[in-house]
Amino acid sequence: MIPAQFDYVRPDSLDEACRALASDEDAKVLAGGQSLLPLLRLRLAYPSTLVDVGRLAELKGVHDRGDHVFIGAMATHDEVVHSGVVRADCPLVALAAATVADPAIRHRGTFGGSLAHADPAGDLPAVVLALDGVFVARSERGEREIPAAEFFVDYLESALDAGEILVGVKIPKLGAGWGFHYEKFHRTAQAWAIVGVAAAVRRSNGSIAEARIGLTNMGPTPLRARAAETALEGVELGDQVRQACEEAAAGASPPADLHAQPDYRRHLAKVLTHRAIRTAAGAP
Amino acid sequence: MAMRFEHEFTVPVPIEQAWAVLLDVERVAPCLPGATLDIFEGDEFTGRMKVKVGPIVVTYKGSARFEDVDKDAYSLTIQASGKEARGSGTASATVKARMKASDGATTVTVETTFNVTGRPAQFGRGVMAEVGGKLIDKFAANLAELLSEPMVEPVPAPAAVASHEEERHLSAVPPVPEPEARPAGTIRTSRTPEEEALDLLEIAGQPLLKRLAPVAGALAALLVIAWVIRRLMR
Repeated sequence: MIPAQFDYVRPDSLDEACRALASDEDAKVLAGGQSLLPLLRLRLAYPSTLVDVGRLAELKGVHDRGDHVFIGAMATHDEVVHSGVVRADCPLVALAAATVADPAIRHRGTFGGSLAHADPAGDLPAVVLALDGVFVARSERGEREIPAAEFFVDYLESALDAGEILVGVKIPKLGAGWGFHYEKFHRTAQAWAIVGVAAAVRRSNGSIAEARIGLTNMGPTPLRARAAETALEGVELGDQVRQACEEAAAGASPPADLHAQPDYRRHLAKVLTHRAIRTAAGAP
Repeated sequence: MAMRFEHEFTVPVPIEQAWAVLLDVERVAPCLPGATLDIFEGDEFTGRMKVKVGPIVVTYKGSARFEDVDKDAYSLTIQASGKEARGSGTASATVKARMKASDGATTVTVETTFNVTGRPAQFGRGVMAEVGGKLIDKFAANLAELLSEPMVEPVPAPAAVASHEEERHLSAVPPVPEPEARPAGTIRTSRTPEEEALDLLEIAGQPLLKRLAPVAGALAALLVIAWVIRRLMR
């Protein structure tokens, strides 16, 4: 339960942090440590250096930037949940962040850390994917933006290069007329989602004009339920919604583990998508 | 926890040529993502295998050898077994390859079984099957590519690059004493980039953490109890 030996640096500037990360290929960024520290203590990860990004001002806070909300990578889940900007302009993020693990983890764990960890069972990846967020990453070579659709590469693998630090995520403001919901199915309050569904719905004249659906833990990466999104377009609230949500698991290859087999997860995805869409659309 | 995989592919080269390449372990070994050959003597070779999934890294050190090499039937078996470099877990694999000539081309069948014990095995069956499946898929795909390429003599230029990559790879694992035998990998002709080899994706950290967190909790509780008892015994 004691980690293998590693060096520890806590730079004061982003440039310094990028240099520290680039100078050692086995270095690893330490944010809130809620995923990385257990891996270290279980001796499943052996980084030679931990680059603590806790002091970097650029990574902190939540900012209203006009057409989008910029959530700093080091903003804790708790900050995100209680941020007035997030609640007003991208409430889906707050809804999902409120379901992450337990209060202790939400106070230490960070928004950027859980996204960079790229765990498909994490709640935030599916949300950022559904909202078409844009990841801002910095390295010695400069800054670049990565659309959410390209960020999640595979199980625990993001598009971040070894020398890149996630600075924050831009969440576009969707404007008026949208409703949101995050539906999470898990056995205990602090457990990972067996399946989770992030839904954003734009209503017009009693029917669904547009729907965006992100799926948690339905494959090696978070997924968009594109088939269901298309099927929901123009559908009136009612039985047709349920029918359209039957497409929710199309193309997904969900994992099998102690909690659920793939067919059960597919079933869950349909049921939970239906619930999430109805709630997001404000159906009675 | 044993798993079995089967692959079949056809390569557009005559069977004699494909067979010769298959026997060339220095070219075949790099087809396995994360594998590094250390020593190769006779039918036995030793090496390392690094499986990296996100922040999780498991390195196996072990040996493998050719068995049942049948030149007439164009079939052979590779037996490999290894031990975790930093843990007590083990991994073993049996790879049976068969070749059949078909009209100037060669059909190759690769049957792999492998078995993992120790911590990585606790990741859960589904996950190991997926990791193993990905590894073997990749191996088969790389092998197919290797067998398809025309016979070329290794040129010095890639060798230099390879040895540089070798250094990088070595730096990631505990240093091993330089063996007397010449280090292999200097004739790495497979185009499998080292980058790709190291970044084998897909293992479950999440089911793992979910599963190990209670274990960690229980251990901590036990330690506390032991400490309390010791205090009381004084």
